Amino acid sequence: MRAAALSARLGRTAAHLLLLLALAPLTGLLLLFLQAQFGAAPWPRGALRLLGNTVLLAAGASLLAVLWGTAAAWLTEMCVFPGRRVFGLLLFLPFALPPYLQAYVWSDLLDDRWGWGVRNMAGACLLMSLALYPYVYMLARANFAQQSCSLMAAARLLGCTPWGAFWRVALPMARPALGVGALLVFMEAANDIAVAQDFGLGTLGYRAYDLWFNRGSAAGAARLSLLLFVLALALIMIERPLRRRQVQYESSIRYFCCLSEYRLRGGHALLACMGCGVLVLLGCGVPLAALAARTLEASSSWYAPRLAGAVVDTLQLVGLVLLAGFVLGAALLWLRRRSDAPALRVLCMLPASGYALPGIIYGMGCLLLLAATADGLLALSGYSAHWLLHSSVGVLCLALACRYVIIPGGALERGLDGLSPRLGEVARSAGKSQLRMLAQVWLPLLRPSLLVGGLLLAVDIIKELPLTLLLRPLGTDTLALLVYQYASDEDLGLAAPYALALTLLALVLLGLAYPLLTASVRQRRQG
Amino acid sequence: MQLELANVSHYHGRTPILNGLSLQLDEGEIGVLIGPSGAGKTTVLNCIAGLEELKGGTIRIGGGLASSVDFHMPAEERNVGLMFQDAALFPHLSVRQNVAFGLRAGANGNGERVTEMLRTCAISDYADAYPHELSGGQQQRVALARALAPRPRLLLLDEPFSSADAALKLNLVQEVSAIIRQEGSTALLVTHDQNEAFALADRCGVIDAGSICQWDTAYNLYHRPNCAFVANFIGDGVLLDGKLTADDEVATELGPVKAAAPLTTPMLRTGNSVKMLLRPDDIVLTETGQGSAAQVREKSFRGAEILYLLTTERGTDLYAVQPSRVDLEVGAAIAVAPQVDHVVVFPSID
Repeated sequence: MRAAALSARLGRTAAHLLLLLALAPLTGLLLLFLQAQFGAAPWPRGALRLLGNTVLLAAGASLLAVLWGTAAAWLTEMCVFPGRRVFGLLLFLPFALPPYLQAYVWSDLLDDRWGWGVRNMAGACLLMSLALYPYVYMLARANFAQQSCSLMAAARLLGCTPWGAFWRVALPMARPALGVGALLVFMEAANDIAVAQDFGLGTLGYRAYDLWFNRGSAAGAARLSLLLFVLALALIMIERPLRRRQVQYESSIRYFCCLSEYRLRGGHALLACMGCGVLVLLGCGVPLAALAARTLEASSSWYAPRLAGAVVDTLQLVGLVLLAGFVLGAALLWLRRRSDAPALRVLCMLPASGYALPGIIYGMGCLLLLAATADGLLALSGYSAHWLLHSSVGVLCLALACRYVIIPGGALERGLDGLSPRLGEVARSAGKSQLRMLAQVWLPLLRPSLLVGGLLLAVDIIKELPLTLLLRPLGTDTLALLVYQYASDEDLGLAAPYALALTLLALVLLGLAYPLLTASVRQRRQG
Repeated sequence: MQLELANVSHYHGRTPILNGLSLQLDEGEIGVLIGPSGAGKTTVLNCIAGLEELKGGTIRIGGGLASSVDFHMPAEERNVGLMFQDAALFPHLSVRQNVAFGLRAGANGNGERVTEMLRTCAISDYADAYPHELSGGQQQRVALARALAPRPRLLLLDEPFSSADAALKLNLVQEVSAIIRQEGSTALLVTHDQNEAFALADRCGVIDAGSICQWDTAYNLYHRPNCAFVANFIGDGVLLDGKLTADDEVATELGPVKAAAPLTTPMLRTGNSVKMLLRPDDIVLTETGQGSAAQVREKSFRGAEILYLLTTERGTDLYAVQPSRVDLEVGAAIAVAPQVDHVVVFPSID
């Protein structure tokens, strides 16, 4: 009995420590903003123009992404045409290409070879939307699949054509999901630095990075970051009510079947195939082919051990972040569900907001906090701990795990929410210990959601650039970093093998995640 | 004839769901299909509504062809209302907007029609509420108003009361029935609950394995079932072994039972073994010494009456219903006799 109490106390203490850790980057952010607020430096010039550009880029990208994503989701989920299942998977795959890669490849193809100018705002919006529309696509598909088919059937019986039923029922009901998808695209686009740099667009993210890294103006960078942060915060405020409404819509749904599917024939089916095909080709096919061609072209100039080293570095980073992410996510979830104190519960939810914050700001917050900690240690003990700043994979992993904690934590939470709370009671009344319950009941049941969470987190880490760029220890060259380094020197030939490896790695992970992502929907349809 | 199904067949993949099903409904009638789960009830409605295509037979609505093997009128052109098991209200629209959904946009009198339907279905008070703010019964009433608002030629109801509380159900059934009759609609309802069916139906059908066993009045389904499945499915009761000793008399272990009319048919002659339907209300208690001896095995209290499970000396189980003032102990030895108003016999298969 005493041993049990002791272990419970130990567990709680550990969870509290992990919560502190997860909150640390946000504390750093606070530090950053205090510095921006009270620093003497003036506002960087053209801050408003930068803000305008950022909003224009992000809004343009999200608008286009909603267009592609909704159309693709509608076709693959609600219509029947040849190749629909295959397209369902293929349309998800452009997710493997980060926006900056999309931009490098297409500008290399169109601008440099054929002289079509894509290095402008419109081009950036289009290319970003090609890389980011899968957010909208997957959310919209899940939403369409969950819409009770009796609703669509009811609309038809009340005189709507299939097209009318889409406009009057399916689309309005999917609006919250589309809104969430659009916001995710918006945040990703606002988070970007590499595309803006390559295309010469003055955006807040890139300018902040430039000020901090190239001009040593921490205060100016902090001010711009504050602006970006306010933008992100405003978006989160918009998103929350959307999510609430989404839950409301889902709760009224009970009955599933395939009655409402819309059979496309002849010319319509051909059009659907062509539309999906073009999206897949633009988003994934052509860039992959171009990268492969570039890799072969420059096959003499790249260095295989370096590629192998980059793959190993990337995988190591992914492994460590996965471990840290799941431990953090589980600890926060456990603490939040167990705790009676509302304040503590709010604190446990705070770290998840990191996902919505631009990586560049997040990284700057981390750096500031580390510097402050190291300074404090130096003052206290006379021992310089500034190595903490620059040579630790651990710091990078923790920062990434904290920023993306919503993915493993959310996967765990959704998995648990999908299980009956009675299961635990049943297992307990059958006399199982906590540990056995974990091994025999919870883990097997949670496996699909944990796998999905893990795979998506891995893809995000592989693609992540701004935070890794800021916090990387010397000697750690992930694929994304090398792609950025070579490509920002306008040498896509050298970047191509790394980009290809990155894309293929992400493709494999996404291919593994796809059946899991759609499994729950398929089950419900058959049931 | 407002609705006519002739020899309708439907398959899911290779599994037959409907198998030569036929039925007719006159204008203004309410028809009910009862059957066990998986009998194909919902599929019948989906085929009539045009949500599924036929593999055989024809469906005519209001005299015009709606479905056949090589013709399928789209669901939106049939002018058929369907009320779903889950009310299937549009969650993004208010009650008023839901009711108005099926009315032709911009047509004259839409506003009045919506107000009228809201009043008829007693939902005017929450016309501006959203579906998730309503109780199950209220949602069903909104669904009914929505289905009836465009004045459909035919109203289909798919187990509309299955999610209502038992206590509220009977009320709701009666209200719905009154509204449908007030609107003068022709309606077809499917359910697995015979109380619901009996309360609503002008004509009633028992559906089993994709075809209709008997399409008749509720009274006849109960008292003159035409096959053993209907006899078993409708009401309680047992099938008792017997033998036709004359053309209007059956010999059973409880003694001879005399019928009002001849029971013999071309398939059934005097001397054949038969199974006789014995309802709980066909058994009466007699003085000891008369009738047959039986023992009370189980009893279930039903308020006004008690249903007893009895076992005869030969080990046959019987059901008997008695007013609850006749309170017998489990294990009590009693004597019973059959008193059958409608004698129903089926040929013994074994």
